[in-house]
Amino acid sequence: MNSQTGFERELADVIVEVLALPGTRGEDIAPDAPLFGDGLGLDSIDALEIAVAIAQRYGVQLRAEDEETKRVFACLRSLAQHVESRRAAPKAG
Amino acid sequence: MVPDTLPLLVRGPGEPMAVRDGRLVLAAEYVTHVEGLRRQLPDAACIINLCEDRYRFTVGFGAALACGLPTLLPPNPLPETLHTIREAWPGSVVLADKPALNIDSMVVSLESLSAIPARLPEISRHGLAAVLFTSGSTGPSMPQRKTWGALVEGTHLNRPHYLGATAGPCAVVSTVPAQHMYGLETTVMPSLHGPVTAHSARPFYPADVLAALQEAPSPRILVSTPVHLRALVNSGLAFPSVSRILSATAPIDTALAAKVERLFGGELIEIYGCTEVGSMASRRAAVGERWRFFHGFDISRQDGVTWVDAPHLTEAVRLPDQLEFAADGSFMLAGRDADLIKVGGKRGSLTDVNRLLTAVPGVEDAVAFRVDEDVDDARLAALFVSATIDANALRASLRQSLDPAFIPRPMLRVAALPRSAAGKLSRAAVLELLRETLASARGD
Repeated sequence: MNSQTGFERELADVIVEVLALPGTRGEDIAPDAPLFGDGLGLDSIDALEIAVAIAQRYGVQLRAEDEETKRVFACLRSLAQHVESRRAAPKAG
Repeated sequence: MVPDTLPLLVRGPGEPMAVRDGRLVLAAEYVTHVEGLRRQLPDAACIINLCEDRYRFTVGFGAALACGLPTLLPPNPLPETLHTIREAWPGSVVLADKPALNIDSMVVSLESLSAIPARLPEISRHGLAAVLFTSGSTGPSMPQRKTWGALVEGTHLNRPHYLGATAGPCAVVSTVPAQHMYGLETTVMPSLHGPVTAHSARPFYPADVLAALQEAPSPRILVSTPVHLRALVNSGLAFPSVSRILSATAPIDTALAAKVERLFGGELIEIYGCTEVGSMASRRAAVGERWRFFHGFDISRQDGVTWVDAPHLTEAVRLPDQLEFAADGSFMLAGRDADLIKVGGKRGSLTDVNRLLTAVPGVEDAVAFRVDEDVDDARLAALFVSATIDANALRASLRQSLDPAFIPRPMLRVAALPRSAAGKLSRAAVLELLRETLASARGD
């Protein structure tokens, strides 16, 4: 059973809204299904749009230099974990 | 008296031609790297340069030139594209940043190159330097041959427009690949035959662009496209000052251009060009200026079609866009060749996409189309008929041969296309069927 966590569902809804994916609902995106290539079939233009939405909503900036980012974008679950952990990091000062 | 050769670069040995890992790379070091790689290159008829690191790309390009070999520049990184090009151009050696499983390539490893002092290579001006390809899909794509002389002349022609009237030493950061004519002309060539220090990265996300700009010494120029510029404006990040921003590959709207200028504190110059010609006109998009051709271009019009010619072009080129001229020679863009599609700034052919779509086994009928013909840079939509495959399977199949940007979305399976008795499809009927199919998918 692979159901979405609350944050995964929230992020899935953001993806569907920002990309205007036709005929797809946030709740339909399986947490471990590939986002790029297979699965949802997103491409690099989509990655940029999602990154901007994540920056605006959660204050987390993605970086491609990061070997991380390739793993981060592998599926909804890895993306959600990455964003949630950065978001929870305490601010300095 | 025009010499038969032109040097690989016109920089003094102590001039910086790149910035890489936070460090300036001087021209003298570049020349030793080129010599080192030149000695490593096996026998070949041509080089295919896939390096994403802009400095490695430029070393590979220089080594190929020094060997008298043309460099082929694939329009996308798909294995099938590479395969098609390799079949058409036998005897190729592929240069890459790192080893790849399914490609027989040579890695450009700067660390392995011995620092051999070398004489500056002189390159035949008539020699074939680069071959670019124009289609975004892997249909029969048209090779665009550029001699070394043509590339160098183009660089001089473009310089005041790219770098500004003062056109002095500056650093360039770009999101555009070196394999694209726009990237080659604005980053690689000006670092060889201009005063530019080119940042070695191809930054993607806004935070990457920020990091590259922070490493680039002032004055800085940013070379990018509307897709990336929109992301930068919406990123919420604060950027160092950038004196000039270039935008090309797709139209940029006035409002976005104005926001970009405020974000960076510099002027945004929109560039009009195509692979066949290179860049040829510019305007200040933020104030809604009309376009002006660069000095040195001859424009002629026949039956509403515009042709351009210039000394560095082998022949006159027919522009795929409709230009509306004013008496002073300035122009506006009025529309384009119906077959030419742009998605995310990448250029493709609608005919090619339709051909590839209907060629997929299991597809009985299909049509790909623009949903809104007035909107630039938007994805195609498609409807298809198949008894055996669904949209996911069709997408997987198309991914073999089509740049992801051109894979239609939405791409919906329908019972039949609304063909007339004569077998024709009207745009209105296709749009209506798309609307209905989307509505029923939503459960309306």
